[in-house]
Amino acid sequence: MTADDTAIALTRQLDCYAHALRSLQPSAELDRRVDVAIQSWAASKGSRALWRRPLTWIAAVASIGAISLGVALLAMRDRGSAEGLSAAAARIPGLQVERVGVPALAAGQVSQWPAEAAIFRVKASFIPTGGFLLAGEQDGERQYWVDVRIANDGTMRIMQVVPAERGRGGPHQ
Amino acid sequence: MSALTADDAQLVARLRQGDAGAARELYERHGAALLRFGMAMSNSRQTAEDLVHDTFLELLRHPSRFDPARGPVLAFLFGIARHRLARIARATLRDAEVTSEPPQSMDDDGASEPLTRHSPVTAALAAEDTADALDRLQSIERVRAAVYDLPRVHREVIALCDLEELPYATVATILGCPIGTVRSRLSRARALLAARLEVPDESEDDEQRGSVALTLSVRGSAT
Repeated sequence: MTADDTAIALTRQLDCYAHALRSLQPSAELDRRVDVAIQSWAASKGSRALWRRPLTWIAAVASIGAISLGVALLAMRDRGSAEGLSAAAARIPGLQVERVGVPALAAGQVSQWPAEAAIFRVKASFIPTGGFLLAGEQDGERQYWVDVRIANDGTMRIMQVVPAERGRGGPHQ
Repeated sequence: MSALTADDAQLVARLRQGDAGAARELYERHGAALLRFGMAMSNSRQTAEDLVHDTFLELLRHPSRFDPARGPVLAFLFGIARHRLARIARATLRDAEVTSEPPQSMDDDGASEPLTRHSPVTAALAAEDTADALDRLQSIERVRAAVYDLPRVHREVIALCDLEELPYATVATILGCPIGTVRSRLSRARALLAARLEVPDESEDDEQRGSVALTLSVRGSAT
């Protein structure tokens, strides 16, 4: 048997095998799997393409801008209300706002409300029936600086009473 | 570049733009060829189908890796499939080392699946219930087993050059080697295959001629 004969015989056998292989077709299951892969790829490609559109970017930036503006406005409103308290206190003769936003509860205590308090320093006169009377400039009686702490839960407490002639002492909590 | 491969390149260009229809078209064109390659290389229908699926998944993920200057889309797809097969083979070898058993097949369950189980042509032959048909089935099985028994580098040149009948230049692109290397590997692969098959002299075997005649008649009816 010559080399050519061997080669021809081998080629025929391989040809026969190749022919049998050519009858192979992808199964319905493979078609379905590839289809699913293509669909999920197309879906992800579509969502990525969305970010390439200029209008999408404009909408996203506008949304972020609107949210930032809202947050800034809310912050300014809170600050404005605190300033408003100071301004209102300044209009009352003899009343000074010492501190605003002091936590009403000590560390470790828990309240379901955002606890805040303000301490006011008031120049007042002592009255015999008990308590203090807001003093006017014309009063000749002995006057005191009274530190009053008012919390947003409605409670009020006198923190410190100092004779007015001793000057202003720092309020204590 | 032929008209078909030019179309393929256009399909990949459309794929890059997110055209799902182009992906389906490429699968319809080349899915079967990849399946045949996978079957010849792995001897397992399941592995071959996984290979086709994974190859197209890779194409979908990285269509920009295709460079028309380096070869046709088919070569690109076969290149992906070849790398995946090498990975599967390494994993199979590792598994075999762990279990201290020689690898039988790339199939998940370790059992090889004869081509005859899936082939309509061989099923038709079996239905004829003739001695020639059985001879032919046995011949196909012997060749299939002998091809699978070859070392991977030789099996792939047989699969690409002789079974898929791809041009040497395309095979060289797929394998990433010069055409001369493809020729020498193919020559060596054929010699190994002939030795495994112990190819008989046709002039001494009249029955073999009958088998060839049957092959031609079946091919004519199948195509």
